[in-house]
Amino acid sequence: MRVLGIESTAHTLGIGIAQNFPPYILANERSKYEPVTGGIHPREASRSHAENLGTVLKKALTKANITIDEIDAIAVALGPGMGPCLRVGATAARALATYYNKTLIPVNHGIAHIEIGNLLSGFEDPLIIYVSGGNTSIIAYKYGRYRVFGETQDIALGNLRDVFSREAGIAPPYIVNGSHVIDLCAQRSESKEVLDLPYIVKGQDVSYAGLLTSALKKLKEGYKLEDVCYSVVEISFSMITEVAERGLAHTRKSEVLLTGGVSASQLLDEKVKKMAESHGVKYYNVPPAYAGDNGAMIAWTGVLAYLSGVRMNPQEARIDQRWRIEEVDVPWRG
Amino acid sequence: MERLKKSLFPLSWGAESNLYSGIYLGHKVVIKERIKKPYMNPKLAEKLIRERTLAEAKILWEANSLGVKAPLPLKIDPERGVIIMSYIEGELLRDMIYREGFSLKVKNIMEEMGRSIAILHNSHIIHGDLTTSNVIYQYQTKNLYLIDFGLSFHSKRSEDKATDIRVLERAVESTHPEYKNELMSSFLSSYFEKVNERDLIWESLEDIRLRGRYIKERQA
Repeated sequence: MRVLGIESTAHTLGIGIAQNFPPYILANERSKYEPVTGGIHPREASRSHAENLGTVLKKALTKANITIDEIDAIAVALGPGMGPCLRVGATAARALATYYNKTLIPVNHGIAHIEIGNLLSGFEDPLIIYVSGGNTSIIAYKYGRYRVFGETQDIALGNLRDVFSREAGIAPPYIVNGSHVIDLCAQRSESKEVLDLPYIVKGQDVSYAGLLTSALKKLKEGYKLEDVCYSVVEISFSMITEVAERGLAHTRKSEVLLTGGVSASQLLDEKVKKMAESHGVKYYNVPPAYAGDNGAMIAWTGVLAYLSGVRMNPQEARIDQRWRIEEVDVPWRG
Repeated sequence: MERLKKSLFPLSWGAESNLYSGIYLGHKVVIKERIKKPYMNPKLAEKLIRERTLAEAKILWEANSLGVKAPLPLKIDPERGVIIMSYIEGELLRDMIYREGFSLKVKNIMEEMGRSIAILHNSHIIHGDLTTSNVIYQYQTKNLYLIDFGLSFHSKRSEDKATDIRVLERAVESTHPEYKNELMSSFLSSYFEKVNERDLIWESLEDIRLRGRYIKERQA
């Protein structure tokens, strides 16, 4: 059976097609909203998604070399995310399901990130480090659900990186040749010395807001931009790696999965890999095409949910901007 | 120290440190050695080890002098991140809950724990890593011990006290989801009975609960 998945929770409109037998993923097409100045404006992003939906949908079907008739169900990310963006995906999914008479499957965006990672890594029960512009969580499966063992108490890791770069005048664009500008800036630091900035780990949680404020203050005080970049990157990545390590000690899992948009950072990859190696556990970093927001992860999670009997009436398919992963039953596991 | 190490018996590995048991000056002891994180800038790793070792030893001492049972620090070496402390016999609260569920004994322990944390908070000590794995119940003496002050610090801010409680809440939610309400209400009732500035802490706690990403009640 085949599922078409729609992702539109933030800056990416993604449409993917997945099936329950190899090669599992048939298409993973997208269009990304790039702000000219500033950050993501939800209304502008949603407008861009609505304009591109037809094209991306067509591209996905062409890529998979199938027609809509060969699709059994439509899966859609109903949350969490930005309201206007979510509505574009939800509206499209309801329309497609109703018009073509397909089953509609609700998918939680965070769980989709995990499940595509499980598929690609072959991991069975990993500790998940999920880091993106809107999320910073340490997650593991326990008692029928994915549980959050640690998270940010304020801003997300990707948000720290974006806002710092913007305020420091080195973004947008945030990504240059696949690397975040803050990482490129950090690599240019000659001293490679960590400035005295707040390293805030509270139990299993991290806090990045204080680091952001203090780092911007350091810039105003005249410290070299490259050294401040290096310190922010070193401290923020050490913090998340440390809480992941704590999560590992606490849950005793033997696999570590790194995913989300920030997982593309080579510096973070190196840190988490070293941490995993030091505890003798397996490690997998989800490749960027599947780690950043994408449609394939929604389609694949749709396949898992469909086979477990998860269904939704189009009338009931409402978005949920704050849909936490702990609220979702995952009947396809355990 | 090196001579001592040879006779050590490894107890556990943690994210923070390795624990060994051994005999020091005739006492059964735990030797806690902080691990230098291989993934950190070496200077940052050393700084964290030094700061955390000193803070932990100082706070262990203070907790004991307040009548809150915790291991006693016998010797410290901040540069190498080593603390030698008294060994606590007993069962982890986590294992007791796995074994007994929410029994009357577990309820009493949660209440006792609430009182102990209130005493620490009233002296502005934040434990920093409250979980059911960091409480040991000693059957012989019927005493409750708090362990692993590795992340503890001093603070007068009600927000930090509330965070301490929130960390426990989160740990209980993830470790014992089936008893989370019973466990936490036992803890909270005795904690709020004893703690100073309870209204401020309660307010902060509500605030922090809503601060995690994607909490329903928080307004955009």
